[in-house]
Amino acid sequence: MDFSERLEKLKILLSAAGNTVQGRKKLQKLAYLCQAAGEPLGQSFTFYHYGVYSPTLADDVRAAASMQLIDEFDGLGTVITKLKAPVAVAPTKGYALVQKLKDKEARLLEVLTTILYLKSQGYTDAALNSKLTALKGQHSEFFAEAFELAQTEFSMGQPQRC
Amino acid sequence: MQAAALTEQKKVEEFRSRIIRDPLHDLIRIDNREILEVMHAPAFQRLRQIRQLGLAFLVYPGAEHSRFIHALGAYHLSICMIEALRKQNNTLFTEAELLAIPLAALCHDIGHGPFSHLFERVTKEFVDDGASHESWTVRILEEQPEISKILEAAGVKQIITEIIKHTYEKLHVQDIISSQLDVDRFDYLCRDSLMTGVKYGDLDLSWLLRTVKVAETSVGGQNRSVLALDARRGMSAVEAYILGRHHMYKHVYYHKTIRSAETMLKKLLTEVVKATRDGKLKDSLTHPVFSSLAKAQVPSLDDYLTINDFVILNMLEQWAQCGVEPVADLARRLRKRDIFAAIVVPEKITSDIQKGHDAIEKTKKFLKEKQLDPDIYYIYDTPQDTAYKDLYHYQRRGKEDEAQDLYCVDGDKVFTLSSRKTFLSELEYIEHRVYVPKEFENEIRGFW
Repeated sequence: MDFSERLEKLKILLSAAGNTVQGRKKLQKLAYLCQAAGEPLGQSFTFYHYGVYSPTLADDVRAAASMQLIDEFDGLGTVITKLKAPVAVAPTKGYALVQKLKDKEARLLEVLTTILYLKSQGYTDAALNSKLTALKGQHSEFFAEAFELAQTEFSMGQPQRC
Repeated sequence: MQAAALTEQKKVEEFRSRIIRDPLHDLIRIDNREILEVMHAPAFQRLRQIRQLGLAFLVYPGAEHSRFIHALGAYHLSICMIEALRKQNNTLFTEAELLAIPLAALCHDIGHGPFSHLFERVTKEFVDDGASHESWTVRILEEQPEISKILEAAGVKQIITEIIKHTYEKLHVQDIISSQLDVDRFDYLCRDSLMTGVKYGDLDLSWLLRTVKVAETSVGGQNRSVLALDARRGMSAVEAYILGRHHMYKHVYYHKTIRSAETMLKKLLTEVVKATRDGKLKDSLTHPVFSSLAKAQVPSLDDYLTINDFVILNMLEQWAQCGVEPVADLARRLRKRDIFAAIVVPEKITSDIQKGHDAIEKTKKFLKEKQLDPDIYYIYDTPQDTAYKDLYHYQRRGKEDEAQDLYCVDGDKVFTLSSRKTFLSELEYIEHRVYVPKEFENEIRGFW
């Protein structure tokens, strides 16, 4: 997917998120979830210290800002990304999921995307739970809700508890 | 069976250290059986046929170095870094990690396909998952029988695959392989600088290695041990490193002719897959990997391991004469080094949506009039420097957005480099470019 296609997808993603996303981390997680739900955005995610992250998405946001398509400004210690001219949101599962999760806490999305990432890397059941605790134990209050979302939105079975 | 056992026994008895001469690090010692066995495995040897810098040799004739020598360099630096860290604290690593880290450094790029990152971008056009070189690396480590057996026997397979997947819990172990202070970056910057002749990337490696420490800090609210730079001794070295990386991106990795050639080759390979799918190319003009992609399937590991730069370059000759367009034309142009011209898009256009739209439409209309498909012969590119962006651009306005910061330690105080104001935070590079056939450069330039 080339840059102009990715840019169009980014505009739809931001529109689905209500035109404004508070925090770059949250934007990364929403993009991951949208793509995981079957909507190709042309992004490749790797797992860094703060969870899933696509350097290309960060580049695209920056390019979009330089093209005056979006605004980025400070807001309560985070960077707010705002789409200047909203576009129509395609009725796909991926964008519908973004619409559904856009107001959730970034930390919940971090846990949910970590669960999905670990699953994609072959972790299951107790191994997944153990690894999640090791990597994201500081957000354990979100585990139950994240597992529930993983189950309802991605048909992922509940892992055995350790 | 008995003969096989005897051969195995002989191999065990015959192990001796090896010394490899390297233009960058001088002598690289192989003191470990597992390292040598992985090196000798065909899945690793294939890295000799994959260039580190893709098509950069079209601009920098010296840039012919392979992923093989880069992997050895990363392995060598991992040993150096481990030794330096253990002098500070001998309990930082377990016995298993002392073997796993050099093996992970050696294998970190084993999943690269032809022309390194370029091939990933081609496969992503046809399959959603499993296309990244990291995915192939994990598959090779877990599924390729010879490599998998070596790692399994050494008892380090799980640690290595977790390091590659970035899920290993001890961050300072993972950081040696993948972080702002990792051995991968240290080797490729110095090596690419040496081999291209572009001096900016040459960094004070030996001093940097002396100033790396392990520090405890809060990462996302959790206390973790990370690789950090000794701020009192290493700040000048790390500034030079980041600045050098910035220049290398600008002058080598994002060089307009190299980027143009790579986007042309990407278009060519994409068209080869489509022509394979449509039955336009006979079997001898394609490859099992392209056949799988044509069916939107991830290629088999065995097939993937048979494709490399040499295979593609050899096929280029045949595609140039195959008569299937645009495959033949793109192949002919690449063979002749008839690279698309780069037109830098001025700011007055990038900052004005309507002007940008008009310029794109005029360019596409012009190409259509010349009987050229704009989807093939018009490419929009936005190279951005990644030398500093992780450190500054993404974090300077909010700590929560950290991706991979560079940690510094000053006494017992740990902080991120991006939290300190230095001249590095002023460095930014983004360029919008259009690549079009050279013969129409002057006319199309007028639209922009």
